[in-house]
Amino acid sequence: MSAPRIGLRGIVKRYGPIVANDRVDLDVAAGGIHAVVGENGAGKTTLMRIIAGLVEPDAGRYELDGRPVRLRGPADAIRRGIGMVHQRFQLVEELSALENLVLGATPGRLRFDRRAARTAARRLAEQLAAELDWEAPVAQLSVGQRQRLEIMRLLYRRADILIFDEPTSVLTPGEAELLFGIMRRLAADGRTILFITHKLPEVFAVAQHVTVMRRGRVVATSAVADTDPRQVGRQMVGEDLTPPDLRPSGRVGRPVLALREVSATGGRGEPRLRRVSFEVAEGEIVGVAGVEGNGQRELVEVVMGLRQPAGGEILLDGRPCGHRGVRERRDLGVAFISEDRDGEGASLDATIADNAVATAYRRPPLARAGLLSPGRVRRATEDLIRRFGVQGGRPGAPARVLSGGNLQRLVVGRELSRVPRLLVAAHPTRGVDLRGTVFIRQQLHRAREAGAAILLVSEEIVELLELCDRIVVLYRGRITADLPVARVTAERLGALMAGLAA
Amino acid sequence: MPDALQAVLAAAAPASASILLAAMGGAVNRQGGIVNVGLEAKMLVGAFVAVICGAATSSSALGALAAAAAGALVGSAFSLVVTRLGANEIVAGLGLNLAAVGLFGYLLPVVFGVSATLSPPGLVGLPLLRIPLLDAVPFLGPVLSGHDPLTYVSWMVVPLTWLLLYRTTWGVSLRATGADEEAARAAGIRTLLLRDLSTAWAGALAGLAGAQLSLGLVQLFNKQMTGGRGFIALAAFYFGDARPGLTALAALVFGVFEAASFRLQGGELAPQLVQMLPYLAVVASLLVVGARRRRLRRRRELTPEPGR
Repeated sequence: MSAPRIGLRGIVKRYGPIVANDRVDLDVAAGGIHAVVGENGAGKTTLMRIIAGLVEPDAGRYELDGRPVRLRGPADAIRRGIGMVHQRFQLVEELSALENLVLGATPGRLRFDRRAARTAARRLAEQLAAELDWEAPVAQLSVGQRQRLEIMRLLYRRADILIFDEPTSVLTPGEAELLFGIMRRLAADGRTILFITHKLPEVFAVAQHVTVMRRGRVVATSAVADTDPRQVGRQMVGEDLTPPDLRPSGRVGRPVLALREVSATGGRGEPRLRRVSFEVAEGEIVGVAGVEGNGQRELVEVVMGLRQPAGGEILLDGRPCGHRGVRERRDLGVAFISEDRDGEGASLDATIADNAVATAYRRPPLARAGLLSPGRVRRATEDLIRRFGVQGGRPGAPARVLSGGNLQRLVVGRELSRVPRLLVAAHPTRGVDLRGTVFIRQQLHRAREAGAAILLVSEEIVELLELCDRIVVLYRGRITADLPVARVTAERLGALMAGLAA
Repeated sequence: MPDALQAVLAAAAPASASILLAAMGGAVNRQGGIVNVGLEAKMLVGAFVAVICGAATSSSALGALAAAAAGALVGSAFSLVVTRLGANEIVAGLGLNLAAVGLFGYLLPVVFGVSATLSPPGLVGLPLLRIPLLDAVPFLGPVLSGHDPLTYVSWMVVPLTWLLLYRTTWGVSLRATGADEEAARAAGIRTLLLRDLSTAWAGALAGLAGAQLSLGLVQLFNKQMTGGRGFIALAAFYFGDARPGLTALAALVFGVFEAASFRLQGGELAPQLVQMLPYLAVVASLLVVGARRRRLRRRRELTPEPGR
């Protein structure tokens, strides 16, 4: 038997008192797809960064084809054929796709040889069966296109080990399928694919091998054919996660949010929402199902006051509020979990405490007569950290130190620290690990049972079916169905989201 | 009227040359991610070095070259302070400007024994080039011909800057550095070095701009001779969004206003008012830019970003 393409022996990496990787062993065979799964903070990303030369291990051996190596940075790694597609793309938005493709290895000595770059681009696009507008600035590309550009960049630098860090967390289901196709093709060409995820169905859809990590250690590595999602899930969490009962009690009160023929337009006046009407009542979760880009974002922004509607009426507790700003709506009891966690949801440079009180600091008890009480802010933050299980940072640390899942717990905790009249939740569990997902769903359920009206925008059919009282389907800016959850099946919902007649 | 227009345009070419040179350097620097507030100081140093070296060697060409070298040197020092020592580029730039003013306020009386203006013996100015054929074209001839060599250099620097930014491997890397340093570094680009080089380049052009003032427009050095042209250059590349064509256009427009203000002096208007003209043009243009960007930003906010 030949040596594995990548071999790790007893890799250790510490960050202060935290052991991110604890004596990790890993063998990755050439020409296959190898998944690495685990909860947030299990050490997957650190391990991948070690393999990609971004982080140096404190101890242990790193072998390529059986020979020990020591990588001196990502440039060294790419010379040895190892490249990584990060969660946050390393693209320069202002430059064109073509310029990004060749960045750092621009063809031509002094004169930029555009023709050589274009030839390479055409060849790579063909190889991936992915078309791109090469002259467009990256800012104009969709997330899926950007990701494919990142992959092509690595192939341009002749990488044959490609590492993907949660590649599907930013993709729509359709784009994820496209990515899996690319991954299979690359593996069939003899390239080695490593990919991090915490979505088990993905593992069983594309990978041949799966390594499970928990608390910095490798718990198990198995052939996908020899295991099953239940077993892997148990290995990830360390116990059986019994899904909690999230069924609605059905005590629905008066309507809180009502939309009457609401329309919205995009920047060039194109319609994004067309005469949308529905209601959300006390004690009710109404799910908005739809594939991304069918008007969900506009709907959320119109309800929150982040966007002016082009027509129609928005009522909060029976009073028109289409003209009101975000703060006025929040003062009326509206809470908001944004899909844009790093932008609208939280400020990464501000402290955890500042983020925790960002929607409450103007009111007593945190402030009196315009003066902030630092003691109360700290206690409120500590209370929130405890109640919502935010791990990985003290109140004074910048929010940047938190993992995505823990940052989302902080946001959810802030928005639900008081029971709101209306909660607008956009993709609240996107990119959150299994345990966090279960927790956040539980919190939404609890808020509903306490009488909150909840508008839940999601692409996850399971999440919608599990939590909602009613589901409306948004397709090309129109409500194409408004059904109680009992009359919806996963298949029917999928068909409705794709725009097929119910 | 055509005569007056012709005279203003003919005066605008040399009047705008120093702004154009400094602005093109500033644009390259800006594309690399550094806002160069210290152009004014580098122009002043260039003007001084040009006069000293020009007089010592009796050669205006050597004076201009020395000015460029001095500007590049000051630019490099400024750059290292920003890129390696982590100083704030705005504060460092303003400091550099103040230091230059102080330096010449000290040097002129103490070393050269003059209060504000230095005109050493043996100083020769830049020659005026008459371009055959072009010279004979009606109206355009006097506008385009008969200027100092650095004015022509300033015109050539515009396409050169465009080539540098958009048609060289260096330019691609520099723009990547300015737009997203982290991503550029991850791609293996030596971002700090590129920034230093772009600042040195901006310094060299600002030095040349200074030489054009002290050897081209006049043949002397005055400690206030830059008169805010470094800042007008800043406004020009800000107006042009650091793109060569628009930046050059802005620099030329500012030059036209400056030439017009020369013409109008001695008329009925108060000279102070007339001298304000170029600076008012700058303020007006910045208002236009501000309004335009605001409108653009608002439109972008309403358009959902792709894929979000």
